[in-house]
Amino acid sequence: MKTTTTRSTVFVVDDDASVRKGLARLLKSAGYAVESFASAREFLHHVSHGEGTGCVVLDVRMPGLSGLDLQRELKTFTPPIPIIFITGYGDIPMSVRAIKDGATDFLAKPIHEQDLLLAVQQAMARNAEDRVRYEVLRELQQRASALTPRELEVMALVVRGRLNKQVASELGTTEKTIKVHRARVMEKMKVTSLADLVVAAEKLGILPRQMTPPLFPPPAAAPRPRISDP
Amino acid sequence: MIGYTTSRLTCVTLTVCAAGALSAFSQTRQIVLLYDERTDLPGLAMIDAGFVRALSSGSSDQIEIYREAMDLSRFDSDAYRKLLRDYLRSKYAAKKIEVAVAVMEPALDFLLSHRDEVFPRTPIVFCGIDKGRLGGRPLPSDVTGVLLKREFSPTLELALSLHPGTERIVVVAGTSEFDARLLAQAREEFRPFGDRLAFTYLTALPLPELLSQLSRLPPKTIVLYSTVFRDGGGNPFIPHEVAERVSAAANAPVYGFVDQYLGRGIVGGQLYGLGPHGEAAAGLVLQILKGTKPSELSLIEPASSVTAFDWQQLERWGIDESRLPSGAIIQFRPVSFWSEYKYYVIGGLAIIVAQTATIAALLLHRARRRRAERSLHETEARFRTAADAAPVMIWMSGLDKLCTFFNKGWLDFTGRSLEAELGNGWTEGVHPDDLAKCLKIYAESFDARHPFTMEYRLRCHDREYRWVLHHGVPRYAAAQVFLGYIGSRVDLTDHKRAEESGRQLAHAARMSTMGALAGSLAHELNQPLTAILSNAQAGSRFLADRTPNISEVREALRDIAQDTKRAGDVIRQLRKLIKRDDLQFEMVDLNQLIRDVVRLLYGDTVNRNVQVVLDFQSDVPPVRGDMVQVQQVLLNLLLNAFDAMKDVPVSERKVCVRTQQPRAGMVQIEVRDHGTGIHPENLARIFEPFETTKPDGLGLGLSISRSIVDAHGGRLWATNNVDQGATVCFTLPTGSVPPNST
Repeated sequence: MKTTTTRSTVFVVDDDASVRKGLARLLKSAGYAVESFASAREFLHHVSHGEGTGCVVLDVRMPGLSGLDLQRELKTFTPPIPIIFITGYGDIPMSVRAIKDGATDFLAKPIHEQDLLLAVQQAMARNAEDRVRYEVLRELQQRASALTPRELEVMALVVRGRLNKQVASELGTTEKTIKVHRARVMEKMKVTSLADLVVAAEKLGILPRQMTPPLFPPPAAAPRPRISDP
Repeated sequence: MIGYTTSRLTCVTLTVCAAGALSAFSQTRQIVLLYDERTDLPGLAMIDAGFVRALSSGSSDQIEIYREAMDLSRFDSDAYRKLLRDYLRSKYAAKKIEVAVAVMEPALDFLLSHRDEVFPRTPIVFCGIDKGRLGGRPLPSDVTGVLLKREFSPTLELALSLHPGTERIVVVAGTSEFDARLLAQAREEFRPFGDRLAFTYLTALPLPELLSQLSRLPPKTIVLYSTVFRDGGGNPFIPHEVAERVSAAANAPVYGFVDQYLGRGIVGGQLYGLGPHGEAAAGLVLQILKGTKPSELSLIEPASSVTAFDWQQLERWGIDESRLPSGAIIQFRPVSFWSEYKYYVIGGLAIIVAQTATIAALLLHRARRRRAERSLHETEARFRTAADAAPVMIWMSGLDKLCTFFNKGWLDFTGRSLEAELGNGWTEGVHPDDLAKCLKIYAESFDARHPFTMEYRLRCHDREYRWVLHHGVPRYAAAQVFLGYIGSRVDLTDHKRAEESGRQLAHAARMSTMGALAGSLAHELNQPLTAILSNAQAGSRFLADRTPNISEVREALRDIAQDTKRAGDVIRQLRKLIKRDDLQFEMVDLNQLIRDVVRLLYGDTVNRNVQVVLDFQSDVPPVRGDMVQVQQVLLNLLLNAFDAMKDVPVSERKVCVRTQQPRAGMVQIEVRDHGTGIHPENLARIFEPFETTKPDGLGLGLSISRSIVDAHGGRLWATNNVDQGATVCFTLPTGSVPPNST
């Protein structure tokens, strides 16, 4: 797996200097690497796609780009950077919305260290997990991109539990050919068992819609296979 | 007769004596008047009166008049006449009678017969004798006289003219010689009339029968009355009395010949009078006394007949005045009171008029005075009614500061009676702490005759003390006549309460503004708090390390201190805004103040995505103002500006605050927004209380801001921007601080 070169950082974004400094100090005292930004735009400018690892402690109301706007932006990151919202106002509706939209947490000022550190810990962990998952997925996608279209078709049917001869009849070819494709798929996908293949297929979103929806949207880079569902 | 004559003689004697006494120096002439009848007969009386009048006025000599009433018709015998002759002779033997006057024919006859014995060689003047009766009788040369013309036919003709269609004439006469003589003459005169009229001569009847006959006369009859000295029964009468009775009894008009009968019943006639007769006779006598010989005096015939009528008889017989011959005299008109008593009437009327005028004047005067009194009462009553109806308390005092009047409102308010309050009683309700000041102001103003106003606490009817405003002005009658004071008192409680409410309202408005700020302020406090907390916690953590990062801790603590101060500032601002106001003027640096306010609103600017731009004139002088209140104005204007840009795209939300000094003595602050602007109609209205377009707004912000700015001596107004939005400006005076509080 590819590991990021950047260290996990907590990004503190708040337009109030005192608050920024205080929070940064606190996080630093907890051992985190902290980077502070006075506005969302500054932060975005610094962090480009794929280079942000860690989490963001973000004031909801700021001049210019607001926290929620930033949240939208950050969701496009891969992996997306978790957000911990902080606010000086008692904004319940906003907090609910933020959480629904995927924020990790929503903290009211003045911020207690336990709340903050716990949230940061969770966010960092989640970010790490996500990163791992994204790595895995990217690997799989890479492998899958090496498959020929025929092999993709075979894989799609095989992971559905079709026997070789069923696949052969569906695709209009011999069982023998199917066996060959199947072996090639296994090889390219670097799996040794059918179960693993299914897992990989699931991760890639090749499995039909009736099954669990993909955890992540399929990567834009990979061409979306056309799968005709039975 | 003797008694009668005696009494008359006595009178005469007395007169003579008196005359004798008086006329010591002048010669007394003596004459005698001989009357055929008694002198009290009206005709004779008239002659006598005329005679005496003319005699006394015509001579300077004293003239003694002796009168002899021979009463010949009542004593008609020769024996009597002889006696009379003798008597007269004896009587006047010693007297020197210069003239003897014979009145009437019988007297002349007597005198002529007996003159030598009675008055020898005395000239004789006669009167009352008819010319015809003298006839051709020769008169001695020393006899002269006045002739009487008796006529009967003119009267008859007159009567006939007034009563055309008359057929019968009844002539009434008596039986005495005199009566007969006259009648004979009448008959003669009536003879020509005999062919057209029937004549009846009633002479022989006793009076009662005569009267009864006269009462039963046939129609178309006229009665002519001559004389009746003796009726048919031989009874003597006074002719004019008979005339009355005849006239009363007759049922036909009675005409006569003698003026003395007019008024006694005759309608009228061509009448002869005897008054002038006497005068004429007197004239002759005077001449003789002066020395003229009687022979030289011819007989006089005065015209003495007049056409006269009795008005009452005219009325009785319905004879129209207009038919009377012209020049006819009408007597016995119901004497107009006026003609009789003209001067009395005038005088009386004048007195009555004067009295009436006086009474009227007095009544008028009284009425006027009553009216004035009533009007005064009305005015007083009106005043009293008005005073009692007035919602305020009204009082009046006299010249000595003691109060003389309180209206109903006053008494109701204090709950005391008028007697209790009069004089100085009203001071009993004044609060003890205020009493001294109250009395002092009252007394001093009163002495100076100045109007005054004072506030004090007064105990009113519910035993509670209330603030009252007591006001008085001096009052005058005429220009300089001081009468006392009059004034009013009002309950200030409501006023003071209103003031208090006003302040509370201002406070509430500020609170609501504050409410709007609450979010901002909470946020403002929260920021330093957050920082403090974070720093403190970080510091602790650092210290817990095996090798604590002391410098971090130090920085953390420093930041904590700073943030605490920042929080303190916010609290201070907050407290100032919450504090209730009494204006406290100080010199204010506007630019700094605006910066503070904008910082206070920082949270709001973030919240609403508003950008605030400050455009200060750097050398703006300090202004004289109450900091808190000026801040409130700015808060209000800024929040309004923010609200105005609610629906404006975020990129355009810009508020510009500008300070400048347009001219000396004044600083101008502008808050300019980029919002939707103010409708031109509302540019003035927005400053009115309770004018708001915000659904949850009080609408007081601008009106309170305006009153704050006014109280500072500045001006607050709004205009629309040329490009977009509105600008609200206000000015504040610069200058030094007078320690003034409103």
